[in-house]
Amino acid sequence: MASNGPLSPMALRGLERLADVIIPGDDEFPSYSQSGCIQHVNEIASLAPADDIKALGLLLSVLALKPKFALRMLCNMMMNANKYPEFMAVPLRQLNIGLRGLIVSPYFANYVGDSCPENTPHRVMGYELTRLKD
Amino acid sequence: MADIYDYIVIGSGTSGGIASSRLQQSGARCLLLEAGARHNKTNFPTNEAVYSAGMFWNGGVDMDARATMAFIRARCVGGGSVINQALMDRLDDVALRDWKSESGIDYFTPEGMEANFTRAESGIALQVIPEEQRNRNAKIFQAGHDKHGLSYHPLRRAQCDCACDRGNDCMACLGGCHRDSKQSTLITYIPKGEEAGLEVLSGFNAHRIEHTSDGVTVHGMHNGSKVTYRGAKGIVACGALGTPHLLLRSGFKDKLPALGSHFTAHPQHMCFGIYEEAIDSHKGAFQAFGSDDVKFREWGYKLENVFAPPGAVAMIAPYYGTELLAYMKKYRHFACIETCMRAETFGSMRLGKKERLEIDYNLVDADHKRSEQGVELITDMMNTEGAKKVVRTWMHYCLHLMGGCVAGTDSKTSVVAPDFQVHDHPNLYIADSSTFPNAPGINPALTIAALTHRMADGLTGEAA
Repeated sequence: MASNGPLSPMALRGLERLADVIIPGDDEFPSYSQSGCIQHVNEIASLAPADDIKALGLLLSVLALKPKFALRMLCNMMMNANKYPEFMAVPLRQLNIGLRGLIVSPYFANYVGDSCPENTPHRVMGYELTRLKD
Repeated sequence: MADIYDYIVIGSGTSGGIASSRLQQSGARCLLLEAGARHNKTNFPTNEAVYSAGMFWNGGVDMDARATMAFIRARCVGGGSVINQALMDRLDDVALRDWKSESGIDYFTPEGMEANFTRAESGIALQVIPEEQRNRNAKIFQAGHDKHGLSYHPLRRAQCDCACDRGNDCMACLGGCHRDSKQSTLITYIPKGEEAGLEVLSGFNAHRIEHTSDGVTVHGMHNGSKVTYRGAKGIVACGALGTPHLLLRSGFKDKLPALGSHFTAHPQHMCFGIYEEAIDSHKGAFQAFGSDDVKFREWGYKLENVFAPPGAVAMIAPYYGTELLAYMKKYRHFACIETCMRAETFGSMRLGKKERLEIDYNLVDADHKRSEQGVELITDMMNTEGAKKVVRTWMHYCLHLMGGCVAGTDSKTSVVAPDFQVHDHPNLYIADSSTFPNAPGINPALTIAALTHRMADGLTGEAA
């Protein structure tokens, strides 16, 4: 697990556990951890505001130790943030946007790692773009 | 400090790119500063995650203080003109009338802006997507409007050779055009300025501006070192978040009470129709139509025929887990229409902890209603066209950011005078989207270019 960047190995472990709840994989899509996307997380995180990533890193380090049902509960809370009082809804929405930017978007952008199986996200979706240069 | 430029221009997007190029070509010595990197058609990132994180501020998005809205702004040489969808519309009578009323500026009329729009249009190639190149997504938009008796028009785009007839997929250009077809300032104005001697410095983070009666000093960081540049005149062109942020950091708020106020946007909301057959909205020509029925002007929103690459679609999908995977497996079956609101909401910006920009932008009820009406209409159109399901995304996002340094005649309620000089700050100018008096409800790119040409006409003595 590449830890050369703002997120520590512990935070990356927490991120990968949470990401496997968000992207568990199925008979076609690889799970987040199978995709190897974690390899690029610190590269992307280094482009976000340092204070935000520091706070996220602390939370992810805590999540590394939490059971799966707690991670599922957090995902549910993020998806339903608007149902909570504003003092909770704001950080839940911030977390939702931040985690989607770090986990969901790179995965479906096919920013996978060396260990990704042949059925990459783009291949499963049948997505390809033709870039004619001339 | 011996080296003094005639102009220092901060920000290289539509406004900064045009201003620096024209001033340099008129004989002035200019320095163009840009925080982002310089790419060209051979080295734009091709992976969506890489360009989303690397070519946009703050790793992809900014948020308002309540995290209800994502603001997206470019960070690269050429700025928004590199990553936008290249739509070029003039402001209509309604928008100009409202601007004149709001700002007190008398040239905000079709006649008053005619020469500026004409000049902005003459500097770039403009095309519409021909009928034979419209993809299935465009045809669903078209049919939906036809069946609802609503008019629409082919969008005019700043492009010259997209080669969609030969199989090119234009959606790739959202991270920069690999064909030099998109008419960004990176390939239009900036190279012409450089031929005339314009100096361009990328990777420069402007931290602070000092303004004195004899010029402007810009302090910032470049390659990890503190650097200072001095100009007889300065032009700030960092857009509706960047320009107010730089002026707030530089302590201008005391003399400019309206700085940071009147921030506005065109909040957008995408809806995806899922069809039985593959639609392949990502293939071929991109964004062919916009609604133009007079009713939409009354309703306060318009509809656009858009799409997005998978990373962005997943980002705004209202799902997690297996539901998200099942949804994304249908990507090729998605059609998409978005609402783009002419928001009544005005927000404000201020400095927060560690001088970060804090944005308050809470949609008023009328804007929530507009958004809902637009989503309902899209849902109806897509259902009429055979969608099995219509999915609305979970958040608004804003690509068109405006205000914060609004133009006007009164220095108590505006930041920039009709001639684009910052009130009571001789030699400091702004003509980017931060000067917009309110949200016009029309794509802002051509208007930014028109206002900048007007400013440049004044500075070069070419004004009629």
